[in-house]
Amino acid sequence: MSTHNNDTDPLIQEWMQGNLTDDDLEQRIGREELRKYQQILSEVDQWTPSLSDEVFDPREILDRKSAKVVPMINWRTISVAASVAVILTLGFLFFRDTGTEYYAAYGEQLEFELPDGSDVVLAANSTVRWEDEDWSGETRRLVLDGKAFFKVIPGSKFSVMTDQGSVEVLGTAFDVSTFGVGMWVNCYEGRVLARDVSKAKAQIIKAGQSSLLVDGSWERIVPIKDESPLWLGKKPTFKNTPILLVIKEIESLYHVKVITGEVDMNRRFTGSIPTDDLSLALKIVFGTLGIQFEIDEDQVLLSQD
Amino acid sequence: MKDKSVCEEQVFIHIHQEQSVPLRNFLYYRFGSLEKAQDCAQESFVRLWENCSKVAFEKAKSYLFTIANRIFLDDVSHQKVVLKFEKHESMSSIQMEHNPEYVYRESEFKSQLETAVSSLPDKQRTVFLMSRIDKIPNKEIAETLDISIKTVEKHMTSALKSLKEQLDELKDFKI
Repeated sequence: MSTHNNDTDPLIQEWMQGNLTDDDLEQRIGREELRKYQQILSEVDQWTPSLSDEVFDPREILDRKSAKVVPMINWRTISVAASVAVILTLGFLFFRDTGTEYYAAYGEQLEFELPDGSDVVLAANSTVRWEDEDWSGETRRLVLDGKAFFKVIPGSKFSVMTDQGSVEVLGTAFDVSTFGVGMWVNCYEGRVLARDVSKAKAQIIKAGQSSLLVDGSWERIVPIKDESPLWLGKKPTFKNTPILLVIKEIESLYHVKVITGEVDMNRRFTGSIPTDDLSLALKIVFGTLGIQFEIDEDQVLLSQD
Repeated sequence: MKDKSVCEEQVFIHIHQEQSVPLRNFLYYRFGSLEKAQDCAQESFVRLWENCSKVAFEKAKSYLFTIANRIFLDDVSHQKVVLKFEKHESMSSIQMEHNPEYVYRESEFKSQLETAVSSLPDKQRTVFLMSRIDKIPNKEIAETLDISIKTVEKHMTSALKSLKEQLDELKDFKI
């Protein structure tokens, strides 16, 4: 029979809150009891109802209301939705006449300020562009092709559009990279709302989290420890990263074209690569995966037995 | 300074970002169906938006949790809660070796603990899981569920002790 020893309740409470050390509690309740509590809590602490934090899109709710008769807000919602639609469809057509474009060349990194004072670090072979009207009034919006780190000054909604999806924030620090079949978002401060290009799948990514959109669906959120992207320190580091994204990085850094041929690209890579030694970088990435490579001027040919 | 209004889209989206996962999880802990929890969480945000002018910004969170609770109660006849969880990747196997009191295979321990958690009284279970899984501070749990901090603390301690007792009984039973 278990006896209720209520005297120790406040101690257990303090201990669960982290205000009492393991040793202190052990002295009062004994080693075995302490270990049982620890085992229970360490198990429960790893649980989650669902590893996918995919949530429905709040815009659906905002839009739903616009269908009803609610004056004022109704009108505003529609005008916001309409302006987004227009920019998505026409943005590319008229861009060059009225916009601004930054391009970081192969092997380079470019730092600049946006019209609102937010900072951008643009990775090699990447482009950020926007139209004048994307930065008028309450709007803050730009188009990214490639990879960039954003340190956003708090304020109105800040949107990054890519061909794979979009990311929205109010004020935070995060980076986004796109590659052939997906988009990768790392959040370092605050939180962001990222959506695939169809806008059907929204994912909330919080500070210290990373999430990968591949072939239209979000992979489980994984924690990141860094306070800013490792690539800002110039040494690209990958953790269980799709090989296509690693190849894109190598192509941008060394201005080469990687010909994948018949090699299975459905692989992942974990590790860091140098930025000044192509042969070593290739050896690190492909050596571990059992893929052979051959450098032919500005081409890298891959093969596999 | 002007008070924040839930009717502002940015404010609403911000509340949504902050609360949609904790709200869904709360409903799951309380009632046990993840799919219904998801639908019900969405419905609660719809109600919040429809009533945005009547809900003060500071009350938005407790409004959401209260309304969600009510929608769910209207919707389902209360069934026995059976909770299952997924696990984050982690060093659980290493921790197991250091904490060998309940000597089960890991999956067995997980399922026994799931059963024990599911059988806790509704409020204890909900508060305990909000604290441990969603890492919500006691003060915030108290505000959200409209109960006192003392009650939150009591639920936490009772839940942990009760889980230990249930596992002890199982263990004795095995031997």
